[in-house]
Amino acid sequence: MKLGLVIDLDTCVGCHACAVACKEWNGQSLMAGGAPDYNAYGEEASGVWFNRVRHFEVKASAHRDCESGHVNLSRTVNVPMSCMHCEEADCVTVCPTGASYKRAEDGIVLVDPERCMGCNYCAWACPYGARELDQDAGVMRKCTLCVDRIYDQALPEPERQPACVLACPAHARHFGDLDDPQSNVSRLNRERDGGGMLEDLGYKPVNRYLPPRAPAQVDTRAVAERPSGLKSRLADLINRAIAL
Amino acid sequence: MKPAFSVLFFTVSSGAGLGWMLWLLLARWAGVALPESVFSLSVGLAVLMFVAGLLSSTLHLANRRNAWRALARWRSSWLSREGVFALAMFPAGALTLYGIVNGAGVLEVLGGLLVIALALATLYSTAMIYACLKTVPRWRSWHVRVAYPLFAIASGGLLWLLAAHAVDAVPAGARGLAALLLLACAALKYAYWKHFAGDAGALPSRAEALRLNGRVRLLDAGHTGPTFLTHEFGYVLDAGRARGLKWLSLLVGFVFPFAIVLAAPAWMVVAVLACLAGLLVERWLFFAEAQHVVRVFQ
Amino acid sequence: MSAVPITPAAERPLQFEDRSRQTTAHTTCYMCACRCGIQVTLEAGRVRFIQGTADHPVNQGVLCAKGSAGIMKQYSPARLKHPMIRRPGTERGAGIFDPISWDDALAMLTDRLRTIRATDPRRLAFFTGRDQMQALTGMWAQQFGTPNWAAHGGFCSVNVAAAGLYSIGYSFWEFGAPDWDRARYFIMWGVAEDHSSNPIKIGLDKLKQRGAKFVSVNPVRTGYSAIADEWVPVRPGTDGLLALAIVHVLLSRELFDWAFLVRSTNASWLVVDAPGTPDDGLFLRRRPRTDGGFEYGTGEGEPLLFDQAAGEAGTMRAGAQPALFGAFEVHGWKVNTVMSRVAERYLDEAWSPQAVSARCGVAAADIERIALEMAAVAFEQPIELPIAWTDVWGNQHDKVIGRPVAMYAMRGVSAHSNGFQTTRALHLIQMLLGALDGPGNFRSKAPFPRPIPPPQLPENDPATIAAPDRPLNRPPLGFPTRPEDLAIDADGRPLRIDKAYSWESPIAAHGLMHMVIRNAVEADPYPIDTLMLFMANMAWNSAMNTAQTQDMLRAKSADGAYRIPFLVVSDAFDSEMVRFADLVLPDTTYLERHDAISILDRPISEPDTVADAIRHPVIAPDRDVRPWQEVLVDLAARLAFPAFVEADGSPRYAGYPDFIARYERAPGIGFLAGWRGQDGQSPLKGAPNPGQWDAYIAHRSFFAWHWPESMQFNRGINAGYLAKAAESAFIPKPDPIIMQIWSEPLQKFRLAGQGLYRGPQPVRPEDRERLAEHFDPLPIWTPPLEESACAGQDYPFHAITQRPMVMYHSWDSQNAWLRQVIGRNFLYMNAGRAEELGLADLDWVWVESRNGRIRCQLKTMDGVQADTVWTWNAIGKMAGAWGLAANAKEATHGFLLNHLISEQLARPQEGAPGLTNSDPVTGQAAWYDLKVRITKAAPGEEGVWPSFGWGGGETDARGEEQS
Repeated sequence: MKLGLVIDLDTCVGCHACAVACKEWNGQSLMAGGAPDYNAYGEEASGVWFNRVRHFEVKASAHRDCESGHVNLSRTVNVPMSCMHCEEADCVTVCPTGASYKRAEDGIVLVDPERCMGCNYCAWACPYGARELDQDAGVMRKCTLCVDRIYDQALPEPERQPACVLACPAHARHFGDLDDPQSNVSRLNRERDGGGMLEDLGYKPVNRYLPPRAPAQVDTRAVAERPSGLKSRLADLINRAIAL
Repeated sequence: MKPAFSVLFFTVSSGAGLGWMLWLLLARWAGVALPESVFSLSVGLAVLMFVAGLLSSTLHLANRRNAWRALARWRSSWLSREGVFALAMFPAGALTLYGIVNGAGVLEVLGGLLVIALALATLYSTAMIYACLKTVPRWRSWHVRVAYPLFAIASGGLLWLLAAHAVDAVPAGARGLAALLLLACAALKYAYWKHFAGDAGALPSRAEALRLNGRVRLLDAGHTGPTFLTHEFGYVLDAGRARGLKWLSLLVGFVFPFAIVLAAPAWMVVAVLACLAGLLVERWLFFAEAQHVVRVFQ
Repeated sequence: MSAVPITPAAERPLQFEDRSRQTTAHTTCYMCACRCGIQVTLEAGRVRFIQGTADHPVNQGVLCAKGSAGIMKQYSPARLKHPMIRRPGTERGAGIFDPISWDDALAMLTDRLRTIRATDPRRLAFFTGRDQMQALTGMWAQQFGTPNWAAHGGFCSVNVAAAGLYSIGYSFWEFGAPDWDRARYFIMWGVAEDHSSNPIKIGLDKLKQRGAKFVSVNPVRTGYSAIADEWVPVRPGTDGLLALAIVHVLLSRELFDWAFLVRSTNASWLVVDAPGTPDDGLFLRRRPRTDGGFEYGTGEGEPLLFDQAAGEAGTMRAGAQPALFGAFEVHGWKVNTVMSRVAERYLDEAWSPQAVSARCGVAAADIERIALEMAAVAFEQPIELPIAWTDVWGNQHDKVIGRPVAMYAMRGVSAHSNGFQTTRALHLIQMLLGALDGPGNFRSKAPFPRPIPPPQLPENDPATIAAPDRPLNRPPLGFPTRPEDLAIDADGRPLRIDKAYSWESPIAAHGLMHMVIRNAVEADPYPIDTLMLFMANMAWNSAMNTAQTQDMLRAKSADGAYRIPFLVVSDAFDSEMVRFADLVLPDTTYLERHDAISILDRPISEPDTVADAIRHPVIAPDRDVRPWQEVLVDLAARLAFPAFVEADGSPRYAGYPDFIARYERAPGIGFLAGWRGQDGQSPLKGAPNPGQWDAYIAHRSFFAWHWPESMQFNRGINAGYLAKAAESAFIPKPDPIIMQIWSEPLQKFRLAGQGLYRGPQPVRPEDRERLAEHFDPLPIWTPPLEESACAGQDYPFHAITQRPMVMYHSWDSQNAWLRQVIGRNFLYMNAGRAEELGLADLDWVWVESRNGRIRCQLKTMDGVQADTVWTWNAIGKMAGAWGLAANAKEATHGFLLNHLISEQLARPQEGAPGLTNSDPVTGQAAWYDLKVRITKAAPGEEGVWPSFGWGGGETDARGEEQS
């Protein structure tokens, strides 16, 4: 199995539901071990997040609107990022203590806080910023793919999903086995031409991102052929006979 | 990236210590006879510098009590390997010293070869810790892999020269060798900076990374305050300052000691200090100038 | 480099939580007003996890960032801990309090209220913020006998709500929802994040999966607009122009739905054409005479149309064939149809895309194309559902036809002084396309549609209001249909403290909460004694002109007494407003109390489902707080409100839950619609069920009743629906609800402004002018009033806010997680425009309006209309509020635009009060009309300005020292 997420950039509205649901679950998760906050009510709060949503602007071609000025009809794209559970996970390779490990059965990459010495080396090896240091415990924390939800038989089956997937209001996150060509995630990936980020670096990220679709169009040719100028015909217009 | 002083100190101090040990051993085998007290003191100081560096490297660990586990993944991790080689230095070194002290030539040669091999392996592993990372394009070049061993041997050489000069035991050619090494360091560093002056080592564009068409800029990072990632990887070195520091490190670290070694050996202690200082600046630049690919997303 | 080490799972076993130590409860979220269902997992008395309730009508199992952050709200250090009274001798606003027991607090308050009630009930002003229990608080105010009650709709959504309720019988935002499952074209106007947030997100995903085109009309491209197929960067305040240009295009090419207009709207009704007379612009009606004939005229009777089948005027009855166009003479009356007037007006070139393009900042070709796209989808891609239904004329249909264009509009339209008419323009587009309440449209949700407007008038009898110790006969809020309905005295002066339902704001359906403080302080129209505020941050982000508002709260008369003598604030958290209170009554969090999210209030129904919900305590409060509703029920009993006490004066209800379960507004109708009847078997209408709360709790705290298919569409003319709606008391009678293109109530007010109305007329010339200009019975576009207020001065930028997705007004900076996402705000400017002005990212800038100036930090972006600057709302905080450190970034780098906005259109002239900076029709606060100029700050001028101290006396927003 190659468990991972498929994230739809075409419908992600950047609401941070996934980021906060993750923080909420993992703040008290026995597997993740916590996601602390620093200076929570102080000058500027910060903290450990396993999932962060970033917002980008894509400049389209310049488009000069009427006299009001030039407006680049840009596009805003919201991009949630968390551990990609890479096949070639350098973060596991470089970890000196073996705290960082990749499960054989499903490919999930985890951190064992009992072994971690907080050297940050795995964070240097990760291009996606998936790992953050828990300053209080001195260990690295990251997305666990909610391994303690997906395998928890005590949860009702529909809830055996990562917290971020359950929460996403725009249903832009999908979870499943990318090794199974019939799975929902594999199908989505094929149909929508999904891909990983920074694939050229060779990490083989398992999480896939579905690119924004081309904008939907409406064919107006037929209605555009209707003659305009009702004003001039108004006096001669015959009322239709519509009975109540 | 944020340069942690403990890491800078580690590589400079341990490197110099290892280099010094190599010089002590090889010079001895080349027939240079240092007085026993000087030799012992040198060995002691070299080992001290090496150990101090190693200890310093654990200072930046957030969870030091697990540091002993750092040898576990030697099969895949250069950091692990560095640890293994570094620790193996101690029995190898002990063997060598035993051989020297007790006049057991075979043990001395065996141990000494081990020491040399392990020292080079340690230095190479240290370099590979950085050079193996695909996330920092500016570290992925042969210059980096050569630099750590070269700087170690060069700085170690100056330390050896300092001790030798103090007792007037500098052999012919030694100063020339040391000077050559310094020159090589400067040339290597210059070549490294030249190599990455243009587009080489540039991070992928945001559009490439995100698989979007068009020019992409960050609108909002998703947090208005600092994060671990901005703290660890967000450091931006001003280009003017970088240039100034590069010249400083070259001149102070290599050119100035080069001049002293050749022309004013009486000032050797200054050369040593300048070299170490220059190396610290060079190390600092090595980290500060490096850009981690995660910056594309922040 | 070696291969990645792989670890068999068995080597490192997983750890699961011990579920036996956990319990699960369902309740309703209150991180915003969306009211999603939540499932709360508790362990050892603390919240472990909050997730969405599966199958809930609102959120269907999902949950937004705010909802998931509820844990940090529950444990926020900003929670108030006990009642407090301002320490005697200290100044209001200094925030120096002493604790007081609930008994003492309530005794003191009861005494004071009792005195007010026994002397002059008007002197209690009770205004509520972002709550969902207006049905209770409004009832409480009515029982008390004061007209001075409203919730916050007057500065929030009333334009959109009123426009809908006076036009189509339901409305955008609160009282309807797009048909996400079937729409093929969706156009959204002025919508950033705001409730109902999760349904919109769920719905947008469905649209995109289906390939429907999603267009967003908004000056800013974030949030939902980010994923739109087409983003239309409209200039703020000109959406109405854009909409009416679309109307022009549709009319010009005859792209309108004849059948829909004839059947579902008043397009064919006959309007009297007699300019200069009191009957002009009113519907021609007939009423039966005793002798069997009819009397024709305006006023009483059924409205008429021209029946082509009969060849004469008739009513809207079965078999008639109404003429959509035409001018006629009927029994001596010169009339023409509404549709003729529509055509006459909007076919004029003044409404063409070319004519409006520059003003609204949208290319003429794009306007034309969007109109044609809507028409193409509506008329060439109709949906037919094989549903049998019967209309009000007895015709049996075997299918429902949908023209699958859907729309939605919110604050970006509402928060302008022309927002009411703009929303009416949007409804006109929908009516022309036949795209309302059908498959794929913006659809109604229970208890809507209701008669247009809903048959409820506000209390306006001065004698009733003045009478001590008696309830009002009518609720404080309602829907005026003519000048007689205004709440004014014989001299035309307002009866309400906020001047709602006066000539200044005739159709102020939700009141004008933003005017209360100023009016109270200036004793205009009269002074009050006690101001009670519930969950409303009027001293900060809910105020216009924040600095002066704070000064007004502190204002004293010559004798040293506060002009607002007593200020009671109820809130759960330490907001800026709390610091200004004299008496603080701390509320619980939403996890700690009962609530009824009632159909009688702002419903959570969906188009196919009647729904309501409850909250019940899942955690016991760990401090001395009480739910505000409990306090209200308690006070009601102490004050002996007739509805709350028995004949012998003893309290009728044991508390709020008991009140909710047993109170009946009408026989069988109570606050909660589920499991009514003694046995709980009578949904929607039935006797009180003592086990009702338990039934809700057993069903995950919500009730959902599904409309049969035959009652799901075309509800205004759907006989089956109307019958069931009448039976359930959503509407008084099963009469057709015909959508109003031409609004006769507006025309009556216009006649009054023109001096023609047979009845009350305004006295002040400015009121006459406003009525004559703005009460157009057809949708119109007028420039935002701020433009004339700024005339001759150079304020080139529109300044607006957007709601971020992770924060809801001021509620969430106290939340440790959410403030990491947004801990401070920036002012965003178009990148091209910034370059022209020599401004760059992170520059500190001065932002100046006619009312004052602020300093803040700039950022640039492409996705904003060139003449607009914007920021996230309500991020800036006063130092030390909300449980944050005094140097919190929210105070040092966060800022409000509010300081720049005046609540009046101009500085008052001597002796004459200034007009409210609001929509002249509804009184809606015109937040987004703001115009500013931007200049770069000098070197060294950094940090936000002004900053406010709690003791007052700081330099105010104009940079002038306070005396």
